[in-house]
Amino acid sequence: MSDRGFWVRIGWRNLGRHRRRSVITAVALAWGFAAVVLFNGILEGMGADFVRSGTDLMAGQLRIQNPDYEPERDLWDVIGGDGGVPVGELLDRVRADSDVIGATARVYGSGIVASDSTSRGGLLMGILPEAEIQVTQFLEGLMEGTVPDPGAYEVVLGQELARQLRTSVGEVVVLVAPSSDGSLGNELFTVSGIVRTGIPEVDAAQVVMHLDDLQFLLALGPDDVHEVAVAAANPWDAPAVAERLSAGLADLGPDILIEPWTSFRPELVEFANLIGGMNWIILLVIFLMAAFGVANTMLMGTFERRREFAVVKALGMRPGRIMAMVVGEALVLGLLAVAAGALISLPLVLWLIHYPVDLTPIAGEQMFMEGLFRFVLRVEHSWDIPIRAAIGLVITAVLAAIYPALRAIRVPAAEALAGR
Amino acid sequence: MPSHQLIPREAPIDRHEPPRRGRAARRVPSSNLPRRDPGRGTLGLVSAAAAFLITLAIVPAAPASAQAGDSDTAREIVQHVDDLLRGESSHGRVTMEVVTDRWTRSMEMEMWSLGQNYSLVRVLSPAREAGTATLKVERDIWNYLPRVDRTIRVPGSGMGGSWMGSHFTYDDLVRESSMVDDYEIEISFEGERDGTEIWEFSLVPLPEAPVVWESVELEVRKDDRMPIEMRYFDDRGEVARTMHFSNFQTMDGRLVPTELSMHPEDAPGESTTLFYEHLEFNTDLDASFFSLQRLRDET
Repeated sequence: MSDRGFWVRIGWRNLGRHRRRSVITAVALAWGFAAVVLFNGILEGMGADFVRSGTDLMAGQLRIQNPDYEPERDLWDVIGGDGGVPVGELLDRVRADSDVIGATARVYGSGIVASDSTSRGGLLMGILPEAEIQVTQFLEGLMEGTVPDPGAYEVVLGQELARQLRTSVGEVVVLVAPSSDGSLGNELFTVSGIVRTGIPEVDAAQVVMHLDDLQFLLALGPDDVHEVAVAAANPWDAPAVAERLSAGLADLGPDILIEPWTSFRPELVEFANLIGGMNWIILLVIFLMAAFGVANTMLMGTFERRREFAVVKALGMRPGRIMAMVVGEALVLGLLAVAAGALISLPLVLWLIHYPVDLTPIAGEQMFMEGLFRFVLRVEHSWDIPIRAAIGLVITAVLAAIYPALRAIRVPAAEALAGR
Repeated sequence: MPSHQLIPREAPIDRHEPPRRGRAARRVPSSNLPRRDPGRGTLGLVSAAAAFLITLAIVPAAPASAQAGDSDTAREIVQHVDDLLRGESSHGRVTMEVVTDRWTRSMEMEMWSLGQNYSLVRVLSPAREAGTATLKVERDIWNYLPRVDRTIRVPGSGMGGSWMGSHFTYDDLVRESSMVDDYEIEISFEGERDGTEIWEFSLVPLPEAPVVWESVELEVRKDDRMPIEMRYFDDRGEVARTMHFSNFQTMDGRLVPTELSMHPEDAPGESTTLFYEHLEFNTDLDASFFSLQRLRDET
């Protein structure tokens, strides 16, 4: 029998001597554990949702552009520079990365969109619809109609834009845009669908068409695209993916800049860090409260057992062993509490992972950091949080037992035995 | 009409500016105008120039022999220059050459104007764009696009866009201000510069003036009171664009600069130049000429 196992067993037995008190303390600790797991999980879930909503809607977790494209977004600053880039091969290579779940190419422009009755300024976006839905979610906001077919000169309009233009699916609009050769591109398009993203700036200006059609309108070649948007399976892998892709795409041409969302949306990173910090504060506050609970219990235990400690001291037990006895008791208490806490929190966590509570009817959709955020109470699936909470709890229990243990060591054997 | 009463109708909605050649078009807004797009406000003169001088109808110019005597006030001289490029009705042909880092193109155009408020420009060549026409009536601009056979009003949010690929925006075409009425004028230099006797006027917009520039400098040569150069200063006090006037010729009995060239300072080497080939003044046009119907028709 190992020495350590022995002291754990002694601790277990000592706890059994005052069962009610031990159970109450353990339950208090268990609730602390459950609270940490739940709050941290919900906050992590919110953080992940913020990151997702900030990247999934339109941006993707990585973007590839000409380094000169932002912020002026000049028409001719295409990926690969003046010669463009073989778009098909670029997309294939990006998709070949194991952490990438989708990649799509885009062309942007701006111009005027006019219906029979009126006209508005529009943000023109040329997409590959089938690839786009692998990367972003804004096409899920298609309220009616279909995504634009290639070569059919079809457009999907933002809901508010369509309303202002007093046009609807099936009607014809004119797109006018200054093109890359200085001429005024103009073409008739049929409205194939209406999209609502929930972001007012987008819904009032977005004009989405097939990549090929916008390239034609803007007098761009088939190799000329402004952006490749990439979806990563795990948003936090994006920086690593960006590094791999930077190396893997270098031979396709100059002027290829790959950025993860952490660099083009740094405010989202700050927000994620803020959430991480809040999680630690929650952990600290709850376990500080737990620590006093444990300390109190153990202190009472050592007072009650003054004579016992006096006896073992008188029999020659070394202070380290006395300490091990008290701390062992706290350790067992902590482990019991973790087990109980897991029992309490597991069903709640599982429920919130699988059945998130949508608070949107109460809270509404909120615009936050250029993403559309829906308040959904859910827990981010992660082993980090319960493991961190369990370790934190056990350490808390052990640390809280040190003071009572020191008291036990200092029990004056003779006086205690004399009953004084 | 005081144009500052006519604020653009629609708030700009787009972050992305319409692509345009001139980087001049991209500077930071320099005033509290409701438009995001700064840059070009216009003096009457430039609006004239900018507006392809549709408005380049020339009021009876001072006789070429008229010398600006010492009794001329700064105001009177500037008034003369302002009038030079405005006036009643005109009709003419102009070639616009746009030079950018990427391409150079030249368009031949026919134009009609009546006062400041009415103008019509139709592209004659290149063939691909022939028939494309722009109509300006007061603060509104329409384009006719023959390829799709549609007439489109330029919306408020599109006014920052480039006109026909040039360094001028639609805003340049509609923004009107009067050098005399909207600016505080003083002579900042008088004497010989580069071998020519000139006045240099400093024009500072009055508080209420619909002008986006911090100030404007105008150089006028003394012997015939022709404008030579205008420099537009942004809110950082730096030159944002420069307009050169040259090749002074008599057209329909008036001495006018027949070459106007605009250089945006932040795109060195780029320019838009207007070459007037033919001009006639005080033609019998009235406002009814400037109709959407006329915009579409070959005239």
